[in-house]
Amino acid sequence: MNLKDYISSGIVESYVLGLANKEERIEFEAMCREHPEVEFSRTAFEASLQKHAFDNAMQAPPYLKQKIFSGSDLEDKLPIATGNTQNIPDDSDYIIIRMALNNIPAGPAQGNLSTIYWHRQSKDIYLLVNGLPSPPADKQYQLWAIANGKPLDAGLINNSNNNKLVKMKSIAVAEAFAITLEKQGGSSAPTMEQLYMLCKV
Amino acid sequence: MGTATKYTEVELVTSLKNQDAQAFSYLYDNYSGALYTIIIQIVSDEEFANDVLQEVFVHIWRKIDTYHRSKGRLFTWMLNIARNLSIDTVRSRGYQNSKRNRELPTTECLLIDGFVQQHIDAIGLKRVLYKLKREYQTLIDLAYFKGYTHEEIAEMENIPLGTVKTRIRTALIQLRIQLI
Repeated sequence: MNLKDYISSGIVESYVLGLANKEERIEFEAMCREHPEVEFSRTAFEASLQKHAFDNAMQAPPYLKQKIFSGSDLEDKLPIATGNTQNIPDDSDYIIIRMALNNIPAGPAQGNLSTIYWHRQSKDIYLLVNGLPSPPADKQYQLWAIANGKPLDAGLINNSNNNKLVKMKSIAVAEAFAITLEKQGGSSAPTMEQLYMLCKV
Repeated sequence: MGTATKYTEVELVTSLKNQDAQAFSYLYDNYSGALYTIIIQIVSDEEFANDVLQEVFVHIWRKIDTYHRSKGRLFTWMLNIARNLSIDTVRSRGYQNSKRNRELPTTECLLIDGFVQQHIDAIGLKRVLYKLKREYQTLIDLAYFKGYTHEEIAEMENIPLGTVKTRIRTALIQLRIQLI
């Protein structure tokens, strides 16, 4: 079989769509390495397949993302550090928000995530404090809820609270949460230069 | 978690291989819809489809090291994961049992199923499939959406194995033309 016939035999589509058997796959991969035309045909088909898939994409249910990134059933699968997981409320009643240290992605290897558990009905907020650097003696961290662009005090974080689940102030509405470093006793407005964690709900 | 960063495919793969959660978030935002479409076309039950989508992303996260650029695009790799996990789900006992329970012949149920099915058939690759000849539709449906091997199809449809293979190849070429 010459190259042209090989390319138009349907093997390219068969390979890309996962319908080729093992021998066909091995042969096709070798052909791709040896003949740029074969690889080109594959890339072209992949591109039109992807374009079609994107043009026709449905939207996955939005809550799924949250579930995938913070669902308790996935916690052992997604290697995200969780700190002390004792006494964590059942997730079905809570909106769970994971907060990474500012400017550092919420990466798996780093234990830099604090987690907010926000009760859907009662609006109670619990904070699992984790990953915040030890503050200077005259300072402490403060949690803020941002509603309609305005920060609301959601409570102070004691320096001894690291790795503990702490009840904060209840918050009815918020589009984001933030943690800043403030003077002992807290502030009435957040010091944005000292923003440590921020996460949209 | 907003992700403002834009990635090229190479950057995205590198970041994912470094287990960068932000890249993973970007991946979800940009690819979940396209993957969800193929899942729902195979699984058709929304609840199961949601579970499969989760499984797909966990799989991607854990197996990204097995992805090699030389074998194709990132999307192709993910599409195949989504297809394989969807077919596994449809064949699982849990899915089969739930289907059986639901197939009690109440009119309401049938109506809803019919509507969902129509809706699913009107999207994505399945819509393209309908432009092909009937026999090609059946073969692609069995091979791609239901995951039967060529041997199984030969037996089911009572066609020689060689013919199954040739027809599927021809059908795929037709499909490619429709996609352009």
